[in-house]
Amino acid sequence: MTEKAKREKPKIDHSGQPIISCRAVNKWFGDFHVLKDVSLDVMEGEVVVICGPSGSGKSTFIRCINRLEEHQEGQISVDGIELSNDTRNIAEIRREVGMVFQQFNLFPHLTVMQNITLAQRYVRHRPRKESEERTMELLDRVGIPEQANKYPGQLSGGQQQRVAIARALAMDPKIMLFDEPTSALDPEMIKEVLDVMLELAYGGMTMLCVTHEMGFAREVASRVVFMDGGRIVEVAEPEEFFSDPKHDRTKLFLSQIL
Amino acid sequence: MTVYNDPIENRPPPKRRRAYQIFTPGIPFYRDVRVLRLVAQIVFAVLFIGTLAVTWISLTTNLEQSQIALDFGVYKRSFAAGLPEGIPFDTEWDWAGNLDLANSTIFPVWIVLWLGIAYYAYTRLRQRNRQLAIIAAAVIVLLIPLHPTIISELDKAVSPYLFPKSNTRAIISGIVNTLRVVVLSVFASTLLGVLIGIGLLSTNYLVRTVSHVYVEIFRNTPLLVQLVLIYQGALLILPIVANSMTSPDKIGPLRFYEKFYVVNVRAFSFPKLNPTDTAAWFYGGLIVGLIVGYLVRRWRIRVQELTGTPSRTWLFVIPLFIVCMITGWLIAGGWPLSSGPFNVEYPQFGRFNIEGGTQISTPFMSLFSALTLYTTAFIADIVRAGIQSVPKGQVEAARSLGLSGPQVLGMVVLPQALRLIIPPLGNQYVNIGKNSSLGLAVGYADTYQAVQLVNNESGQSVPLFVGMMIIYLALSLLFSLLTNLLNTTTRLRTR
Amino acid sequence: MTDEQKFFVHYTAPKEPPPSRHPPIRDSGIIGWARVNLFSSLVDTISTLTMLAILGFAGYLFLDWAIFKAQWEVVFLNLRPLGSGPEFPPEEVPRIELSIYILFFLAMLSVGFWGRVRGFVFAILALIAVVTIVVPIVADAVEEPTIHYYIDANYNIRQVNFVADEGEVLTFTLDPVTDKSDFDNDKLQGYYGNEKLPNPAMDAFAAAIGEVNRGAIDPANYDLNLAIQIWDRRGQVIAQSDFSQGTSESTVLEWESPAEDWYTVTVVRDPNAPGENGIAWFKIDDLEVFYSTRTETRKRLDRFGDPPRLNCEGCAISTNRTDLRFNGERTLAQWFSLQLAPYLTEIRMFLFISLAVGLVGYGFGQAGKVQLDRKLMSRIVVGLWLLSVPVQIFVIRGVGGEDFLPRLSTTDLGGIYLTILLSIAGILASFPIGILLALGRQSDLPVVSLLCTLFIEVVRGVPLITLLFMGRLILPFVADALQNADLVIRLSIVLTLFTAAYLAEVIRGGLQIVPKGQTEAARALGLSEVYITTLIVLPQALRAVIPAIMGQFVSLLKDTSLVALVGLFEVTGAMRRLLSDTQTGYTLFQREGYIYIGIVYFILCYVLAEVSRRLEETGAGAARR
Repeated sequence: MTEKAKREKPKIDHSGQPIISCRAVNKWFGDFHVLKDVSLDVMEGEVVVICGPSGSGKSTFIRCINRLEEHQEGQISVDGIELSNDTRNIAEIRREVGMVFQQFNLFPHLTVMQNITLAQRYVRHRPRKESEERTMELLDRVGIPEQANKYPGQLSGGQQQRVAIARALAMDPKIMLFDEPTSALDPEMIKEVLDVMLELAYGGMTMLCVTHEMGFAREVASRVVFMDGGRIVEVAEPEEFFSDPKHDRTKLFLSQIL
Repeated sequence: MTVYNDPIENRPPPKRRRAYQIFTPGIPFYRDVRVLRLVAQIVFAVLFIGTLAVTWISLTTNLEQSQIALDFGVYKRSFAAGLPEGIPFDTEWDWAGNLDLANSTIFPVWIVLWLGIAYYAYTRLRQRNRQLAIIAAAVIVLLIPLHPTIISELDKAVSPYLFPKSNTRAIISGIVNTLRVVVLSVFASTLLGVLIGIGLLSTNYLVRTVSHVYVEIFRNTPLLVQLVLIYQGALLILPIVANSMTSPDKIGPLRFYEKFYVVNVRAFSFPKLNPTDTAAWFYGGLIVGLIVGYLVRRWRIRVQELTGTPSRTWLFVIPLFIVCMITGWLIAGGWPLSSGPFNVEYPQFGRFNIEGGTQISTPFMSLFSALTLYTTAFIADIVRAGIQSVPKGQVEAARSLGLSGPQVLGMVVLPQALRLIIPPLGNQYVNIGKNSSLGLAVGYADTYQAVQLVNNESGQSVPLFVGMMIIYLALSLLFSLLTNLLNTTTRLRTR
Repeated sequence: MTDEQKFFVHYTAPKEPPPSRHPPIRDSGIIGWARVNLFSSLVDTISTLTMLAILGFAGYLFLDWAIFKAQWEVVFLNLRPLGSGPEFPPEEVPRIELSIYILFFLAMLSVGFWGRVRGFVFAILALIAVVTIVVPIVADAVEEPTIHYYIDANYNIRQVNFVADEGEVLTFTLDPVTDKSDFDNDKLQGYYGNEKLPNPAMDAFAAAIGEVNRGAIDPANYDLNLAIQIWDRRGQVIAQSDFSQGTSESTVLEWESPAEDWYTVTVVRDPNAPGENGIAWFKIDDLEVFYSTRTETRKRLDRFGDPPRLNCEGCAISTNRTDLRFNGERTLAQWFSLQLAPYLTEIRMFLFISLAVGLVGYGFGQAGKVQLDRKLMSRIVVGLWLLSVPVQIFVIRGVGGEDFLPRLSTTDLGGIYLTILLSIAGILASFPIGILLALGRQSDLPVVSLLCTLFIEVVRGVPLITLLFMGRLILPFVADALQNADLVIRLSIVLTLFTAAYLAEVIRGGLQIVPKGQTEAARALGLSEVYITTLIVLPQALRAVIPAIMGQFVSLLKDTSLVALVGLFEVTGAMRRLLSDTQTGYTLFQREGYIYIGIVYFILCYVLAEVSRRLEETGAGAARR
């Protein structure tokens, strides 16, 4: 076991308004009740890890936050903007929230550079030069500046996911959502993506991650949320969550994955 | 920190908003997603209906000027000309009388059959929805006393269209001709297509190349050119009726008094089998043979399940079927080979034409050949693609389990390949249906030709063409439905 | 433990790996290939031998017909109407050619820039060029065969026009047919009359042959009473043979031409003779069949003017070209000189200019790929394509006036040019409509989806010929603007809508291939729906279905043949018209005509299919690994 110097988790200011606020969110797929009275507040700078068995509604929940899924009951507000059927609200929220997918979802017909500059130019309306500079900065930050002119198909999985992260970061979002970012990667590549995510977290980004990487949670999460059957079962700080879970269901889950 | 202990019950979803509640308070309408969707649909519908309306108005005014009616009255008029071939339409057609069960001699059998259908429907639908099952069964049973009324009402509604030599009857004759060529072509091209498709996969270089060349040639030339080439180039050079090619009168010491084939530029004639009074016994023998075959098959499969010995169904079924067929033949008086269930009608040289026998006209022959050859090329490629899509690993696994070649093909490869073959195959059948309209180019009296002839006489192009489009749409729909049916039976069941 | 046993316990490989060896001779090279592919098992061997037998037989039959019996005049004498339409004024044909050259140049430019042509294609083109030059030159040296001409006593008087040099001696023979074997089917291929082609002379002749075959006419009872007559240009009889009597004697007329001029020879029956029984051959020795080579025809017409038109009762107006064809037996050398050479001579000019234009275009494409920036070159090529559209329209439509480029309407067009035009216009115009229909069908707005699906399913469920007919009959009623629109435009509209419906289905397949995650990622980035569709979904969808789109183009090319049944004269229609015109007498050449058309379509479609395959491999896959 290697000893790693533990870095300081960023300090969360709990005094202000939460940056994400969900109250009694309910969602149905047809007759199937998939999210049941989910309520959560996330403060700015927090890293919240959501875990749980498959089918528990974790991905659905975070997809509701940037309106990739529509919730039928309850309120969600992001950075003070309420998530409703108002197209202006939706557009604003999507600008502030970045998302990284399990399947990377890079655009295969565009180069890495084009992938990252596309939304900058057409949504943030930045001039080309500026977006390209920003892109190179970000590629530097995620560690792959030399891949700028390659196509996604020519990159490895870990590199593709890092490009996806850079693409989301290029929009200067306030919040980053991660939907099982490492589940589709080979074990060797998980580390490089997690390193990028750690950097982001230490840099003070508000992150909402659905992941199975408990090491990541232990290191940098401010809170861990355990969901099962569409509801939030337990929320706790990581030390407490992993060492002393309170709910039976949480105990069962942790015993199976740890 | 926070812990929730009570599991939450499933609740049903909230009721949908009322239709008039499209506007959400707080969101201006031009940004509301719901409003925008509704408006987009309304705009689209208005544009579409608007275009349709404008077209309609312009169409009707112009048609009025040219005295083309927009009702379907033309179907009630009389057709003066004739069709070169097809079922005759200048006789009375008493279809209503044939359907009237009350006057039929086997009325009790009909009642039993009908009740049986009602019971079958009931049992099938019972699992889905009890009420539906009862209603369906009741409707079917009620039809028995009601059917004479229904039939007579139908007859009254339809008889103005179905008098002898009416346009409708002529067009129906055309439809029958279309179906004749389409059905035969479907069978022939499937058979040939499968053969050539297998040839495309052969290990033999020559067979593979020849198949490939065939597919490329017949796929890359238009059907019309193939059709006209066959008709003008191969069939029209046959001799005229007076000089027909016939079967020889003498082969060595044998003398023949009848002709077994007559080939000329008008038609190919063969002897025809006409059923006599005793034919029913022969048919009965065939039916008994089928039933016996079915039962024997079930028995043999049970034997295999219980004891493991191979079922060898065909070894039992085929001889039994032949025995039943021969028995039926003998009972019908067919010993040794003379006047039994069938009367043979040989083609004869009449005054102007060949009379008697089955006559296959040259246009039919050319349309059938061209359709078959053309579609075969496509079907061959579809079959090849389907079989190649089955991963080689499947064959390897089957072989390593010890299955023999035919077993691998029939039990592993074909079921998987069929799934990929059936949808495009159905599409090709629809194409056959549509391509049959090219019979116009060779004078085959199919639907399109019949409608054209009626149009030439009456000039009412719009109702006639609309009717024709409906007929072809129905044909395409029929084939699509059949394909869907086949599709569902070969579906893979996934999670 | 023995050494062998030790071997399995410890083993270290030598430093150098053993060298690779060739496989044994039985399994390598052509013998090995044959063993595997042709003779691998008993069944295989039997199949191979059967196939060889069938191929050999079929090949022999076809070649025998195509070379020794078929009459390809219908093709090489009519290349102009087949290429640009029977209604198209011949003097404007260079405009059509110019249009095709432009198209070909741009096509080769694109191929040169975006693709690559393998070396052996150039070899084949060079070979074709060489053959086109050499064969006509060599063929000039081959002698043309004697014309034979069928006559019987009931035959209408026919005449043969010819040009004779001064002092030329020609022999005309009336040869009664005494042997039934003279009438076997080979020689009379295509001469059988039938109910479709009104050719009473041929019908009577075929009937007579039938009777001879059945033994109803006995050559011993011939009583022909025919004589050979020679007329000069003004219709005066200048020579006549004796009337033939009896059966076995031939009537011969040996005649020396007094001056270089047109003459006409014909056969007449003795009006006073009682009998009229028998069949004879009319042979003309030493006369060049000058209608069979274009150069000879032109030479003669230049020198002697047009052939005379003699008005005689019961005469044919002037010699039909078919009357000067052979009785179906020629040698291989004669095929080269009388069938292949004229064809090559006709297409020589066009072929060479096309090749040159194509090579230049290809060269520019390749040069541009190397020299210029890729983006700039792309822009240039696309720009040239777009520019060519108005240029082509100008070239074809022309401006008013009679001198420079007289105005042509689209109804004058026909032939292969019309086929290509309809296909290209159809596929280009249907593209945007097809995309919109596909997107509409996929949309979640139920009204839009329903209406689009309805349109697509109705158009796909109906045969094209019915739509074309409706386009001709009913479309003029639909909108006043369309009442005066000519047939080509109306049918183009129908073809476009038809192709759009099929294209919509193809594109829908492509849309379904694009993973849902793409739209989600784009939406998460905040892109608006329009951008998502145009920048993310459509490029991927279209790229995925390029082969299917090309397949649709090939289908459209074949479907344009149907306009022949609706009144336009694209290449199938032009050939049909040629073959049904009893004046020109090509009615007996159905097989040659349609086989040629089939070959033309085959080449077009096969080339397109190859391009599509190439695109699939290189172009579409460029974005992926």
